[in-house]
Amino acid sequence: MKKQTYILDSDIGWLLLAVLSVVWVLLGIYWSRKAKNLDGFMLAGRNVGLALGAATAMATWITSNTTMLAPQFALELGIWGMVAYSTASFGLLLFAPLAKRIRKVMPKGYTSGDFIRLRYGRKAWYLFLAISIFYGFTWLISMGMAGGILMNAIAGIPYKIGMSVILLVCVIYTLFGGLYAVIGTDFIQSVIILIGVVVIGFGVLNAIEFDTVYTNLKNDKPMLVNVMLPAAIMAVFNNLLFGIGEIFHSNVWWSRAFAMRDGIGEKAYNLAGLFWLPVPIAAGFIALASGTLDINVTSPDMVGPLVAANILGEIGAVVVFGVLFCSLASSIDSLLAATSDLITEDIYKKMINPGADEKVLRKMSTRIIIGIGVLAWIVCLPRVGTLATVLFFAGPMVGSTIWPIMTGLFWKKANTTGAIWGMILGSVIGLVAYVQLGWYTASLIGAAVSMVTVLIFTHLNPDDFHWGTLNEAK
Amino acid sequence: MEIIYFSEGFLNVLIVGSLCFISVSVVLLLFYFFRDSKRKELW
Repeated sequence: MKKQTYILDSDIGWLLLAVLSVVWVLLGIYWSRKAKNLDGFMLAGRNVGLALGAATAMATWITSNTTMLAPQFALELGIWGMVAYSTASFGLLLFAPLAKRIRKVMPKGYTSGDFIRLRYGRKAWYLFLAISIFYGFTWLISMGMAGGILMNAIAGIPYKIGMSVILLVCVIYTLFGGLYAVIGTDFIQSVIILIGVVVIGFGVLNAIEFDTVYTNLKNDKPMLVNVMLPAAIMAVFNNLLFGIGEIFHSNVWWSRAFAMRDGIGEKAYNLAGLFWLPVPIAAGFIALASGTLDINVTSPDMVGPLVAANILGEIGAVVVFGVLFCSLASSIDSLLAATSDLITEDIYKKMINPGADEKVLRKMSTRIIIGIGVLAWIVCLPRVGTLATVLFFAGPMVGSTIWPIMTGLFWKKANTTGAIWGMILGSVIGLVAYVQLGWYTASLIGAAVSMVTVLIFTHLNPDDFHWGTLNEAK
Repeated sequence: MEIIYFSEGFLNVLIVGSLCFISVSVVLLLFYFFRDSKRKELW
């Protein structure tokens, strides 16, 4: 029987998987000593400094999509595709002033849901939770599936085993150490990812003549270096707004704003945005070199690993495996922790058991992390492989939350009706655009409709919100 | 209509600049880590 060849030798793949898994679990157990109370477990004691704060924001935002989809964007949309992907960093940069504001108006807050409930009331809160949990769960599943697919494609590790291991490892260390473990591992993962991208990028630059890549592109695929490529330019704005919507509404980013020490949030998110900005460009360049190297690209999202392994051999494949594993783990752990916080705090404590004490909530949080992990695992099992589409489907929904959140945090006149209708109309009309016009218009239209709706309702019936209401603990 | 291309120089600066920027990011991250660690301000 003919043995199928993979980018990385299977034995080395299994060894790497085992080593990385054991290291993350041991670190989770080590940091569990710090997570003594609920604030420690959910928000790392609300005392996270600049280095860990910036690293966790950046590592979480570098998903497998950044390292796999950015090369695909470059391959299909050229230079603009790389730039389009890198605009997602604006979400982090623009969240920086929000992080400062969040910490100021809600010093004892727990979740993004807390903010919507206190600012706009229960109806807006239910709608927001539906959007946020749908998005978070979809992102989690897409990462789980990506883990299984990538490990199978790179090292021949069976899909179900690869997917199960990465989910299980992240569930275990999040379960032990809570946000302490998530943030601690994120720092190490971010350093591994950045060094890996630099090694591969300079390796490719060293192995090829840059002018040959450029000439080949201009002769064989001139559209990729075309300054005026309408679909790609549209993708720049769509990706920008999708990224902003994802970050502004998601509890993944709010929980970090609550977790960072006073005065750190704004700096940490600015640094994370700047550090993230060049990563898709470096990853995208690897794809542009594939034509010059005459590599047969069977699947566009595998172009990055293929080029790295072709140029750097076994070492390149090992680096790619490490970078992808870290990209996946840093996002999966954050999603587990943040979604669990949202369900524990907003659904269990606020709707089901308002009298629950810290001990009960901690126990509940543990059960919810396991529950989310198991549910994600069940949905991932069939290997549907089309969840990237579903994730883009969430684009207009999250885009519709940008204005209710931004105006709600800074503008006392913003009112509840505007927030609710902004989310509803932005989501619905954005989804119609997704179906009728294309994915690259959906977030743009969803955010624009939401903006107009929020502004009109606020103009017609301005609120006079008292900011002190947001400080619930007081 | 005549096609306008990104120049080779622009692409070169974009790629090499990005890789250098990422290298600086790693150094800065480690610098902040050791500084915070020394001040006992990691978390």
